[in-house]
Amino acid sequence: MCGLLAQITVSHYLVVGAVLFVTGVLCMATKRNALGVLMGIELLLNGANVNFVAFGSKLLRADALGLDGQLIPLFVIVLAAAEAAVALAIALNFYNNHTTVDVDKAEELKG
Amino acid sequence: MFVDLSTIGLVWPEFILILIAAWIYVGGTLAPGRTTWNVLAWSTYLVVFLVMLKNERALWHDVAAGLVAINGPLIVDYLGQVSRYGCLLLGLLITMIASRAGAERLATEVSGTIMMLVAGLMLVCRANELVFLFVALELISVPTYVLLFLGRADRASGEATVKYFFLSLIASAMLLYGMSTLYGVADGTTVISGTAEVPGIRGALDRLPAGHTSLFLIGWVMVVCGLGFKIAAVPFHFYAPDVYEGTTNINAGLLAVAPKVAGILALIRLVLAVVPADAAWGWPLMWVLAMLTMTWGNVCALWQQNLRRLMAFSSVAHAGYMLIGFTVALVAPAAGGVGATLLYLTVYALAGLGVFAALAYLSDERHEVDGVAELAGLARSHPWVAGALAFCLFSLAGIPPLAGFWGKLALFTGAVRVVLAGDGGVSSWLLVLAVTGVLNAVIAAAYYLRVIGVMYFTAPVTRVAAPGGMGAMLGTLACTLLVLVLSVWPGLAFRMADAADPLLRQARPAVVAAWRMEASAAFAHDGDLAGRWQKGGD
Amino acid sequence: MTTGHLLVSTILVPLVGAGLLCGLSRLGRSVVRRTALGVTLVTFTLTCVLVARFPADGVVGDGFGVTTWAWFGAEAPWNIRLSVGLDGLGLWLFALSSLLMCTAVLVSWESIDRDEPLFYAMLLLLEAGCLGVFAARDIILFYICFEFTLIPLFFLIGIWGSEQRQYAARKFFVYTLAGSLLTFLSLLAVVFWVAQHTGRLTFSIPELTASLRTHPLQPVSWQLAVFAGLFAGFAIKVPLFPLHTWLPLAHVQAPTAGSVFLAGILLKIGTYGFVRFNMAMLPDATAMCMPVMLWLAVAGILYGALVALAQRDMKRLIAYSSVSHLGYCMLGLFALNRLGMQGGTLQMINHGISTGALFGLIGMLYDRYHTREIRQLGGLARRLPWLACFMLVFTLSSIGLPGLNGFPGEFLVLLGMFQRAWGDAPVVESGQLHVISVLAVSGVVLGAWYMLWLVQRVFFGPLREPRAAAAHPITDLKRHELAALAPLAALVVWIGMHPAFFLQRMAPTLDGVTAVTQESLRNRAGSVARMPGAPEPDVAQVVRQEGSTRVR
Repeated sequence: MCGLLAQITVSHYLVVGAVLFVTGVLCMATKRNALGVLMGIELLLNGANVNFVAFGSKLLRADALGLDGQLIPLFVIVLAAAEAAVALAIALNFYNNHTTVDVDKAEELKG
Repeated sequence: MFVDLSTIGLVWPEFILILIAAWIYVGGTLAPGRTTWNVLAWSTYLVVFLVMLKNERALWHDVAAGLVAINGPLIVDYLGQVSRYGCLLLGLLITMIASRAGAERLATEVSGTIMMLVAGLMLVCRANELVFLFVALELISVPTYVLLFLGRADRASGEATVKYFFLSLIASAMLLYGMSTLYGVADGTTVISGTAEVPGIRGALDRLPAGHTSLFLIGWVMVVCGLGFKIAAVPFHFYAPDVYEGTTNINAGLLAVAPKVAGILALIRLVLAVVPADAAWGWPLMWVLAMLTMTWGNVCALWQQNLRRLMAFSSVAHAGYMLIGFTVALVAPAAGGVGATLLYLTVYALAGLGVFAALAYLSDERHEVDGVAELAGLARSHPWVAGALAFCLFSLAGIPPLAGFWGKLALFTGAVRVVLAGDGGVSSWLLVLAVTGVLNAVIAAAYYLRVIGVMYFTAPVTRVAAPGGMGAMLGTLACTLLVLVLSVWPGLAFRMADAADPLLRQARPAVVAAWRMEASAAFAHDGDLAGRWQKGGD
Repeated sequence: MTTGHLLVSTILVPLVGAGLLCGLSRLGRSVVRRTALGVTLVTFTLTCVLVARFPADGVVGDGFGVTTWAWFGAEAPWNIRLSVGLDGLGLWLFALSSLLMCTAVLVSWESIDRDEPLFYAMLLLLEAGCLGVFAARDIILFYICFEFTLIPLFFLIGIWGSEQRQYAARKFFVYTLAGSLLTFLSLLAVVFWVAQHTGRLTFSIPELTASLRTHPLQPVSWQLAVFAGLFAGFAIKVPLFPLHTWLPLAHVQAPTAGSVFLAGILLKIGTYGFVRFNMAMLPDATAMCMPVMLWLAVAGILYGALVALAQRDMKRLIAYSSVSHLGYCMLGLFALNRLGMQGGTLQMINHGISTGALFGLIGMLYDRYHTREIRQLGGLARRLPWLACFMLVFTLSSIGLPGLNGFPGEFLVLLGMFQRAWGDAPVVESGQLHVISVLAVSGVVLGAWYMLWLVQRVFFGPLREPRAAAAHPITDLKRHELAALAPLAALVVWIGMHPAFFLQRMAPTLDGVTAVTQESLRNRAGSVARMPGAPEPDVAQVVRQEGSTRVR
């Protein structure tokens, strides 16, 4: 094990996860295109996935439980795929009504 | 041991529902037709309900005695049992109300999707494991997106769907992120464990050294935020009015009930179960959420002219009331706060669904009843619908002796008990909460009365046709009757709510330890299960 | 039939009647209103039997006609029960409710011309709610009935009211609800305080009252907080002076039957609540708040009277006179002695009878002339002699003419107040109390002024009628109107001549309450000023003296 890796702990991964999460939030907040927003969501989910993997890794923690930390992201990835499918249908519907996928055009309902 | 055969044996009803839902999807494309498939859906709910009732008699006996079984990702207890039956009933009612929803060609997709959603709800009822809970919640969310998408084909509907979709996804992501932190802190994904080898999140937290709770706190707050979206708690409520307004009355009814049931159950399972009894940081967050949610929801509802917007804000406010129960439960686990919340949730769900069912009965896909003013003179044109609507609205306002009052009685009882226990600061904070709660009930009464006043005191402006069909009519009647039954015989509901309160169970010394069911006895058709319950460690 | 069954059926008859009327909605108007009248008469007859069976000395021990069902199941920790029973305090208000409902049905006989089934159903629901309030022995049942009365009255005002009815209905409902929800919190606090200190969760009012004697709510600041919560609901209902603003609006907009019942019964729920809960359960707080409550009462007396003087609308005038009269009730009750308590309770009944009848009479005038403006009417005694005669009787009763019912009530109230200010053990604020007593007496003069002035302007002097009314013939009292007023007039004379009949039956219950508050007052004064041997003046004796004065 080279020295550099030995210094890397769970906390480093947590920072990566947090950065991904915050990036995702920022992406959702700033992107106007529906597909861009969807990408932001992927970032959010993957931020959480990094956490799961890091916590579950035997390499990083001696007392880690093992495989389940790596299995959970698989579930999440499958779910994200399912959601992307629904998202496409919704975006298409939005496009049919608004002739754009710019979510800023969703401004009729307020009060 | 994520999956073993006994676990599958325990979730057979959900499996059946998903299979039938898939069959409805496929069959609907081959043989379109509304009535046939609706009847199939109704009979599925009924048959599953009855068969469950017949098969689980022994199980009922055990859980009613306060036993808890942990089986893989499932927790089998009274709360789970009762709420599963409730979810089936909810499915039956929603399918009934939605029996004319959408275009003829898409009718089967609506009933199939609702069935998927009900399966998800039933899974949430017994979730005892983070991933299981998350997947079950998604099994509710994804069908909801589809239903919103199927609802209407206009600009407003498209907008509502997009808003709900994205915001709900953020909520899910926050929930997941919080779960990942919990997983890291607790070294596991099981919430309450029956065995000594696997501590479970609850057990791990109890052993957590003091001062190591910061990571856990982050996770806890994230989870509360994520679930706050589901129950539309302020400040995560802002999608609700827009989405309700933009969709159909039927979908709005679904949104007012299903995510709220799921969110509350998940909060009970996850948030309350993992918080150590002596945690001083738990209740202030809930206190703030409850205050904000009920006040903001009620005040905003005051000047709404759109019925669905009004009901959206009112559903926000009701979420705030339910959070009073959580606050009480976090301050004093034995004060029965969770039971009160469950009772309130039941009453709210029935009355809220009744209101939307009545609105659905007055609408069809060509014209949805939107404005409060459209109800003018309803008491003359449709006296029974107006009566049912007024009944449900009075119940939501919590006027005795209607069922809503019993919910409020239970909630405020919990708060008053904590106040009287006289624990200095906490007691006065809860007094403020209780007084704010009752003052909010007054604000709520003001806008419910406005709707009732329009129905009864003004002359009809336009003739309201009632094209919603028999299903919506039956749904309205069923909800109203159930509210009536709860109003007149509240005793059983009170006892069930108390028995379902997991914190009260933990407080009872005799059954403090979790019980583990032996794998082979997980589901038995005959005999007495009690003999095969085995006391676990911990 | 045992008394318990009788009591339960008295409450259930109007409920069943309301259901019946909804079912009869297809039938014609005359069937509907006859059914409604029949139901109220049956209820009234049953009530009469109850009153006749009530022990003449008023000693009922644990309650009269007590009937209890476990509502929430026997073994539940929530032993909220359907428990009813009467005592000296509830009996007369209970009886008055069933009598005034007959009046309310009769005054609506011709004035209600649409949706009659719903109208009478709502009236009967209202009656059932009020009967429930006065008979309830379970705190939750009391609260349920207390708030349930809002629903029928909301519809009565909103559907059959005058121009501003929607606003009035909502304001009435929301205003009253705001107070009563705080009351609800206080009631819960009382229940759980007792549960904490006796280890037994009970919702029974007598048990709670008894437990609070041995375990009073401590510390006093808590008792004051609970008192304030109860005050919020009851004072709005009464209505006490600064909280009365909903009342004139609701009265003016309500249909006649609604006004009759609102003034006659619903306001009394507030005073009833004060005696039943504030005084009996929180005596220390009551003793502390006594001066404040007396000030509010006397402010209401004077304010109501002065504003009534300035009114142009007859109904508004009577509404403000209610504020003034209820001030007397509160004054008597919060004198916290035997005389005042009995006078206040008797005054509740008197006010119910005479103001109910006055609202009925004004409704009858309105049916004939379609106006309630005083300026548009005059000299009606010549046109409507019988109506004028009844008007005079109830006016005189309302201003407390000796021989009619207003006199013993008002007299006892003032006597009680004077006894509190000068006669009883000196309390800290006796200087204030002197002022209050004098102001209260001056209210009597004002009361006579505005009522007699009203009668003089409307019924005497040159004949003045709105022009539109000339088109159709104006007739004097019809049979149903006579039937509505005659029993009330008889009662006015009966109470005036023989108040002891009523006072005897309420005395023991009220004495129980007085004893508790007296003790707290004494504790508060910090010294035992009254020697244990010295008895309080005997009310019956006072009444006898008063009777002899009258004869002379």
